[in-house]
Amino acid sequence: MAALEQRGTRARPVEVGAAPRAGALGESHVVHTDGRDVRLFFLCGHPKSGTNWVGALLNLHPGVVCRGEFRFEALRNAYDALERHWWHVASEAPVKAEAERCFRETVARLMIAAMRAHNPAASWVGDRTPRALAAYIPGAPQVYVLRDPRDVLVSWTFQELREGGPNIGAGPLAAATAPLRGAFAADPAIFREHPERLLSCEAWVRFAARRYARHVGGDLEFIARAGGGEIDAPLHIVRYERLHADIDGERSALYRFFGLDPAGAAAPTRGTRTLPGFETEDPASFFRKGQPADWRRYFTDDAKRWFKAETGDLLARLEYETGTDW
Amino acid sequence: MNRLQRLAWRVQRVVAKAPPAVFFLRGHPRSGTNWVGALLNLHPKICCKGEFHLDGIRQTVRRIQAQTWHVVGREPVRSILDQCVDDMVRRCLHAVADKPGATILGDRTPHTLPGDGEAMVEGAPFILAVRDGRDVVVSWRYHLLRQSETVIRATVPPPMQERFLADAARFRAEPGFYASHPDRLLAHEEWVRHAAQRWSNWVLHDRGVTQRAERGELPAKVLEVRYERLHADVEAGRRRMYEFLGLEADEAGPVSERSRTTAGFGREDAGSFYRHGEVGDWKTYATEDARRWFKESAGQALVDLEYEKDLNW
Repeated sequence: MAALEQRGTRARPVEVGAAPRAGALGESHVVHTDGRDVRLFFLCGHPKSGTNWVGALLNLHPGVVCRGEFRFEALRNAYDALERHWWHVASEAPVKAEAERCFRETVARLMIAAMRAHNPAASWVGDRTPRALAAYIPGAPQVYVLRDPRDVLVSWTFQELREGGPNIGAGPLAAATAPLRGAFAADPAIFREHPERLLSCEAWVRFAARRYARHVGGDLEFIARAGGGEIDAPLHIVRYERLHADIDGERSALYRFFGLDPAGAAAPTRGTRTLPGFETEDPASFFRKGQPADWRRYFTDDAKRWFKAETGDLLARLEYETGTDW
Repeated sequence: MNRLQRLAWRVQRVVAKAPPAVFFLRGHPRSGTNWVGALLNLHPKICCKGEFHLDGIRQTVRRIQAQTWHVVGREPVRSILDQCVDDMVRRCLHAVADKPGATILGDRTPHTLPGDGEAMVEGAPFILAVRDGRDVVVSWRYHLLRQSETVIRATVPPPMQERFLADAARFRAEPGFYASHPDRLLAHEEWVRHAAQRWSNWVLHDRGVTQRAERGELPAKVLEVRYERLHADVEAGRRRMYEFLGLEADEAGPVSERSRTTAGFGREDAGSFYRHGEVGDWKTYATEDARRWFKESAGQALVDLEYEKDLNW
C-alpha cells in the first residue's frame, strides 16, 4: 500500500461494537435515533475526482445511505463569520458555544433526515460533497477520493465547457476561454479530432492547476494531522485509478472501513453507474468517460509546462509521479 | 446573569411550554439601534441584545437551498434546515438572555431587512431604526475615528484607509480637533461619498421591503422608528414599540440618563460611543463641498424618506 494511504488509515479505524457511546445530536458521530444508533460520515475530494462514483458504490450496501450535496462547508463559513469581530456577541461564550452546538446539530439533523427519506434501515449516513477535508463532527469517519490531477483537469475542463461553468463562463477567464467555449458550442466532439486544443488556454490551465494544488495541498495537511491523531477523524483514502483497476477489492476495503460485511452489498451495474468507466464517451454528459490516464491525449508540452509551474512537486507528493520529468 | 439564574429562566420557559417570542431590531449603523434597544429593555418582558449578525447564516441557507439539484435544496432536508435556523436563532438569543421575566427576546444587529421579507424565525416582527443620513454620516465618522487600526481596516474600503488612519491618529492625539475645526470632519471626499451612498442604498432597500410588506406583497411585519420623532417624543415613540410587540406599555420602567434612554446625552463627548445623540448635528459640519458630495450620492434618498422636500438644502 502506498505511503499516502498508510498515513490516512493510521487514524482510529471504525469497528462494529467498538463505537463510542451514542450522544445527543452533534456531540459525536454516533446518533441515537428511532431507538437505535446511526453513524455519520463524510465523503470528500476535489470536484471531478470520482466522489459520485464512490458514493454510488457505498449505496450498494444496505447499511449505508450516502447523499449529496449538503454544502456544509458553506454553512460552516457562515457560522465562523458570526465570531469574526469582537463586537459580535458570538465572539465570546456562551453564544459561541451555543452556535457551535447548533452547527453540529444542524449537520446531524439534516443527515438523519436524508437517511429517513432514502434508506431508513441504514446504520451509516454520509454526506457526499466535493470539498476540502474538514472535521465537522468529532470522530466522524472521512472517505477521501483522490484522482490523478491531470485527469481531474481534463474532466473539469469538459464540465466547465458543457455547463458554461462558473469559472470560465463569467469573470476574468471568460474572455480568454471564449474561443474554446465557441468551438465546443459549435461541435461538442471537436476535441476528439483536435485533442491538443482542449488545454490550449494558458490562463485556464494555470487557474485550474493552482486551485487544485491549493485544495489538495490543504487536504494533505489534514491527512497528516488525522494520521498523527491531532484531528479525531478516521480516514480512508480511495484512489480513483485503483478502484478502476480492482473495483471489488477496493470497495470491499471501503465497506470494511465502516465495519460492514462486503458480502451484503449488491453488485455494481451499468444502471446504478457503479461499474468503472462508461460504455461510450459522451462529451456532453456529466458521466463523460471515466477513464484513468485520459490526460495523455490532451496534455501538450505547453499544458504540461503550465501545469508543472503551478503545482510544483504535488504529483510526486500524491505518488502519481516520482519527479517532474513526465 | 449567573448560571443559576440562567437555569431558572430556562426552567421557567419549559414549564410555560412556550418558547419566548423573538423580534429583530434592524437599521443602518449609527441610526439609534442601541438607543432603541435600551428603550425596549426598559420593559420587564423584553430582553434585547446584540450584535448577533445571524443574517449571514440565513443568506447562506437561502443560497444553498436554491441549488435544487442538491439534497439540501430538496424536501425533506430543505424544510428541516429552515427549522434548524429557527432553533439556532432562538438558542443564541437565549444564551445571553439575562432577564428572568422576559417573554420576548430581541436581536439588535445593524443590518438591512431581508429582501424577501422572511424573518429567520417564522412570523417574527422587525423594528427598523431610521435616521437622517447626514447625521448618520457625522456619527459614523466620529465612531470610526475612535476605532483601532484593525477595525478601520475591516470597515473602511482599502483605497480610503490610509487617509482615514491619518485622520484617526490626529483625532486620538487631539480629540477636540473637529470641535475647533468642524469644517474638516467631512473633508475626506471619497469617504463621504462612500458613506452617503452606502446609507442611501441601505435605507432605500429597507424602504422597498417595508412598502412591499405594507402592500401585503411580503410577509414582514415592520415598525419603522424614526430617530428624530423618537427624540422629539420618547414616551409616545416607545409606547408604540411596546404595543407593536403586544405588550402593556405601562409596565415599562422610566427613561433615565443612567440607562442611556433619554434623548441625547446632555453634553457632547467626542471620545465616547455615546457622543452627542442630537438631531440636525450635521449642520455643524456640512461645508458646501460636503453638502454637494452628499446630495450627489444620497440626495434622492433624503427626499424619498421625507427628510427634505428637494435637493435645495
